Amino acid sequence: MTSIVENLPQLLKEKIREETDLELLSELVKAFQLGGASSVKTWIKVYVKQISEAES
Amino acid sequence: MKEGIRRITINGFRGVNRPIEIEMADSLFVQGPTGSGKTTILQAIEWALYGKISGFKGPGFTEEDAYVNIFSNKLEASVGIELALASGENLVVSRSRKQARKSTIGKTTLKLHANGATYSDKEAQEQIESLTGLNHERFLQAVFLHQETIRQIVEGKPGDRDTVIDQLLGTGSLREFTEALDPKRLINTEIKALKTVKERQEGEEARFEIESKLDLEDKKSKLLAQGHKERNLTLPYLDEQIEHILKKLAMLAESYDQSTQMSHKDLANAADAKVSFVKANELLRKLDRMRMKLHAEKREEIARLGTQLELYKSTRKELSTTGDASTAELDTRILKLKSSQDKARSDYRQMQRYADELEDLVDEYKRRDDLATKQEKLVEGFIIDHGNAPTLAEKLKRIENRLVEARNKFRQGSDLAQLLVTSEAYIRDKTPTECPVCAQGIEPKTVLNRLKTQNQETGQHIQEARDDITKLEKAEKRYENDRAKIESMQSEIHSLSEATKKSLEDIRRITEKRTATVEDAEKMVQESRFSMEEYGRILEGIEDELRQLENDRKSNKLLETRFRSAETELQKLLSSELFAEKLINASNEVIATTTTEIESLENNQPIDSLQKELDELANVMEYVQVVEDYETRFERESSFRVHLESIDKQITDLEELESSLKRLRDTVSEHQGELASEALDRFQSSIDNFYGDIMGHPYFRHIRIQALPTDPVTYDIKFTNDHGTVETHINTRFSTAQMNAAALSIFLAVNQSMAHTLPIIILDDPTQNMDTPHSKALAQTLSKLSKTRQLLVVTHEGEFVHNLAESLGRNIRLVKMGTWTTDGVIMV
Repeated sequence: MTSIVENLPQLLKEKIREETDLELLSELVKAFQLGGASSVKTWIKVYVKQISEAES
Repeated sequence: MKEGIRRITINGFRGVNRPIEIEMADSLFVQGPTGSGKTTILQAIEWALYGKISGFKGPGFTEEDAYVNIFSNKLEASVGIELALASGENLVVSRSRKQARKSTIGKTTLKLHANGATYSDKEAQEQIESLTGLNHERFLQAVFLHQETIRQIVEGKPGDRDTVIDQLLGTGSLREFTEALDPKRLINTEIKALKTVKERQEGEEARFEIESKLDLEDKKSKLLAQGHKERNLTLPYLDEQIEHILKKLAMLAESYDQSTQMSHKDLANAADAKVSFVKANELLRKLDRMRMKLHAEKREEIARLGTQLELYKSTRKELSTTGDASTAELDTRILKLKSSQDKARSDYRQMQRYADELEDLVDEYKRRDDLATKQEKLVEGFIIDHGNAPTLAEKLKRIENRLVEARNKFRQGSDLAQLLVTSEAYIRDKTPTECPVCAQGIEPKTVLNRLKTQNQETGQHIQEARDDITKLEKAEKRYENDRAKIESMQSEIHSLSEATKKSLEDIRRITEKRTATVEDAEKMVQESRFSMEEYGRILEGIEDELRQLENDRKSNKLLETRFRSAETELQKLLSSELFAEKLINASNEVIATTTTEIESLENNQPIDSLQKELDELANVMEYVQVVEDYETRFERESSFRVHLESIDKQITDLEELESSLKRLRDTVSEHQGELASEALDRFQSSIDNFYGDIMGHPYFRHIRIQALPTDPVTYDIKFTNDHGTVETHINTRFSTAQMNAAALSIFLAVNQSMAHTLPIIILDDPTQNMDTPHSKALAQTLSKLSKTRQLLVVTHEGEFVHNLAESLGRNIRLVKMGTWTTDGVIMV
């Protein structure tokens, strides 16, 4: 049974203008489905680390 | 019976240790004191259906600790539920979890039997949610009102209350998701760190440039002042100079090698001397250490030996004065004792001899006594024989008589024979007249015959007489012999009797005398033995004393030996030290010679000159190196710029991420507010009705809930009068019971309107902060709902249960629980 969060990318497709934002939302929703809010926070933390360590 | 739960079985789950089974009715009330495990039954239903319990999450949460009973031997939690859905389907759900062990991880398994099929784990979960029309979020929204949910509405902060309302309206997960999209602090920290790095690196670069320029100018002016030409301050010039110096060094090295080879022997000698010196030095140090150690030890030893020696001397002196006297006295005593011992032994031996002789005498006495007895018996025998002597005499007499008679007969026969012979001669000579017989008037022939007959008879008589005589003579001889023998024996017996009597007398006397002597002797022997034992003890004591003295003498001798040994060792050490000193002196001489040679070799003027040149070049080289570094650093400037640009890019990316997340958060939050508003519009009427039924406020009979477009979404809850003209807000005038009623109203409204196939209302402690009238009103409200819903209510209030039972009337089941123990929940 799908949750209300799972449908967000589809429901908000019209409201989100940036393509990258929509992709980001899809990734975050997947993380939420896996382990709730803590997974979302972890995903963002890892993503931030990837950006900050990309070129150094 | 209504649709809903049919049966619940719980084992090893949370507070349940021993298995429990609950048969459901249309309404089930569980009543018990706080901590009795009431809520566990409701949590078991939630866990069985969804594998999780609302509120059980966070860093301190572990599934083993939350689900498996820690007192259970099996360490396994299992819950089974039988459901009858409104769609007509029957489900049998069983979920179990084994606790993690040292070598295994905990594992949850789920089984579902529905429509004749069996499903496991993920597939079973999907089927449960699909068939009931409820996922976990919707289950908490429309079926199971947690006591924690009510508590957060009643006692929580405004933010907590908004969260709970979201949960009841079904937008709870959106709030949770929105709140997670707030990594502002994380991204800002990272951006700040990157900016700091960039600024620091830019600052370092600028500082390096300035410092390098100043340093170069300073070094250059110094070098020019030292006489270096500016054109020579280059790397090629340095290379040229270094090459030149290296050539000079090679030449010097060659000459040094030659010199070295020439003095190789001297060097070898020096090396030997050095080795000797080192060895000697080591030996000396070693000896010195040994000497110090030995001195310390020996000083102690000598002190100890001195003490002992003094003691020994004093002891010896004492022994030589008193000990010798004692010894002499002892010797005398020993001799005396030995003499006494010898005498005692001699006496003893004498006594022994006496005793032996006495024993011989006793034996002799016994022998003679036996002989006397024998003699007496013999005498008695002879006496008896002697008694028979008259018979023998008679017999002898008769023999004598018969002998006489025989002799007479013999003589008669001889006379007759003579007569006969004469007669025969007369007859033969025919002179019978002269025949004596014929003269008797008898015919000569007759006479002759008669004579012959008589002659024959006479001959027989004679023969008989002769035989008798022979016999008698023999008998007489025997008799004579016997009589002589008897007489001899009688004589002997007599003499023996006399001797025996005398001997016995002697023996008695001797025995008496000897007995007295033996007693004396035994007494003496006994006394001698006592004396000997006493002497023996004294002797042992003396021997012990002598042995002790001997031991002391030996100890003193040992001490003396050790003392001599220590002195000898010290002497050896002293001589070794002297030897080492000699060796060191010799080594010092060799070292002095070698040092002189080395100094002569070390004192090399060309090398010093080259060193000076090199030192000067080093300054130039340092300058050239700084120039090189400076140029290299500026060559790296381009890559440094690239690096700085990379940091700029990272900062930009992070800022963009932050903006994206902010936009997403705003969008999702807006969406959440829209959904909440829609839900409230849909449920508003129903919420208002439930609130009115439960609270029955005389004036503020209506409740209004509005979602505000804030970030995050907040809810404005207010109560109004019938006309909506007067209102009061939750934060200002609401009592805790009113807030509880608000939560119940939202939950019941959603429960009534949401489409699903599990028509149950599960309430955990729903009367928090309610007084009796409101508790009763809630019971009546639930009673109405129970017509279409199965009721499962957990409470500690008996009055509420009573009110519910009174309102519902029939098909009710009440489970009462006792105080919890480690054995599990107790259903009374």
